[in-house]
Amino acid sequence: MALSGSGGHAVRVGPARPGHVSGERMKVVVGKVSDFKNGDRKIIDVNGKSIGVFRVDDEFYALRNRCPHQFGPLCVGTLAPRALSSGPGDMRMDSGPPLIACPWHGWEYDLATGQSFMGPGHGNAPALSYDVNVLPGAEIVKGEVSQARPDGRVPGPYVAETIAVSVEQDYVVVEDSPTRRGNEALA
Amino acid sequence: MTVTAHEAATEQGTVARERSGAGRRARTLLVDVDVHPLFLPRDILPRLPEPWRTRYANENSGRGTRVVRDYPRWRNGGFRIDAAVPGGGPAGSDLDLMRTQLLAEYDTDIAILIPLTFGFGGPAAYKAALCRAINDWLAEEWLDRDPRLRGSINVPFDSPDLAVAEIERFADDPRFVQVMVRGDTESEWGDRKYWPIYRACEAADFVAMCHVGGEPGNRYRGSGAPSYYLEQHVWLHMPVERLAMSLISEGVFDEFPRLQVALVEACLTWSGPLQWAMDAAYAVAGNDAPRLRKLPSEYFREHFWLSTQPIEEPDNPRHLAQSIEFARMTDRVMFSSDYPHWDFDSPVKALPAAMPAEMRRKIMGENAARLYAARLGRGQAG
Repeated sequence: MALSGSGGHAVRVGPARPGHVSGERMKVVVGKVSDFKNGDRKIIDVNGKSIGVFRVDDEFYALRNRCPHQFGPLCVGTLAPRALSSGPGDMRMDSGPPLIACPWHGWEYDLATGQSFMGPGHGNAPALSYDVNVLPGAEIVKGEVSQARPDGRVPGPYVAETIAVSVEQDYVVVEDSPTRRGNEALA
Repeated sequence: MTVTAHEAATEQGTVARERSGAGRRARTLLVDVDVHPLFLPRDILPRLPEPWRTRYANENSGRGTRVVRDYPRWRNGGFRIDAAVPGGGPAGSDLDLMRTQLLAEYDTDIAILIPLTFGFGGPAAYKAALCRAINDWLAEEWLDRDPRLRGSINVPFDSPDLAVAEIERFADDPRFVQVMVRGDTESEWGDRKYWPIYRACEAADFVAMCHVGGEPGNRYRGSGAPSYYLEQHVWLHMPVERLAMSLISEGVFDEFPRLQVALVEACLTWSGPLQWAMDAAYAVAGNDAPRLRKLPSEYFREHFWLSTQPIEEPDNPRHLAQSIEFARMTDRVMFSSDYPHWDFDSPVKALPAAMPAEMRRKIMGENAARLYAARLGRGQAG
């Protein structure tokens, strides 16, 4: 969600599993916006879940601290922007949400959507696909996880779990529901 | 409802996290046959007599300073980022962190420690002294401090008399369960000069265990070093296939019928095709290998054991279980995590969901318990 111009405006980016909407949702204050320098992250416990909250430039992101591949602590991993190229001699860094690489096997995920683009086209994984909602505006953008993106990236098998994060006045807030424990089952 | 979160408390300075092993439901035996403790020069120097201490110091040796130039590892220097020791210290160098991240995390019953040494250079007496120091460090700093840990004995493999002496030093020590067979032996593994080592292993119920990787030049009997870590990472089964064929063909198992060999971190799915190919060749060329008294595949399934990590991940996960069944190795595959390396396999996620429950139970612990039963039993008796 964007900081600039949003004021006390709550923008939420988060998971919405169709047919799995729980009743009570809990808002958890992570800290003040001023607690986050650019590039900072905090790892917090919410309802027994570990969640990583990141500030990159003026955006906040939140992901479940658990890699869908082998449950590694995803949010401890390395952040890096995507490199873009149209061909030899052309290389630049994407200005969009960076990728986070799991500290174990290095599976990389889009920080905003949780989508991995490694292993493109391999549809075998136990991936749960999460829709991505951007509020307010009631405008819902559905995740298109089965097609190549405009930049030619093809989604891979895994999708990390995104968590709703918002800025309310000067506070960073994540939203979670105690009853939604998705993907708890053993392999 | 709005509450204020506290940043996850740090335990020993590490970032707290969900226990990824939490929810391990059925209480099944978990034996992890590949865990790497890391020794540093500070661990070895006080345990080395002169003149070897000075030599070791001059080498500035030890894995902590080792640099692989053949094929730089592309990911975190080869280790889990979160396994670096808080306050400084490379991954694998701290027992408490290993306990937190592995034994407590997954409720591991037994973890078998394999201190990798990579290259050994110099005179035989120096190599023997280094092995002795490493074995003593492992016993005192790790095995004595946690009853769930068991050890592997480093030996100067190409000096069999010295190797046997080191094996016999620990023959009655229940903390150790196996002897490390090096990947960079100067002769083929079945060569008669190594037979005293196998005899000593058999006599003490030690498993002979080979874990290749990182030997100088990484030539593995080939014609040069690989250019890329990707190559090195996926071909670790190639030298141990040679090892298996050499031991079988040279008659090692006819001489030492109780000897058991574990091939660790060498993948799984090659074992069926190797057995088929050996048997097919034996059918038409058996008289070319006169020592064989039965099918090569029979020797293989009576003497060899495999470990899971780095587990193959076929597009269709069922194919993994099928490949184990085809190889008739369901009773001889053992779970391994390879902690703290970057390609660590989690006990709760490594085996595919499609694997039959009975096979899973065997792999996670029962098979290893059977292989190491004689040594583990010594521990209980002692």
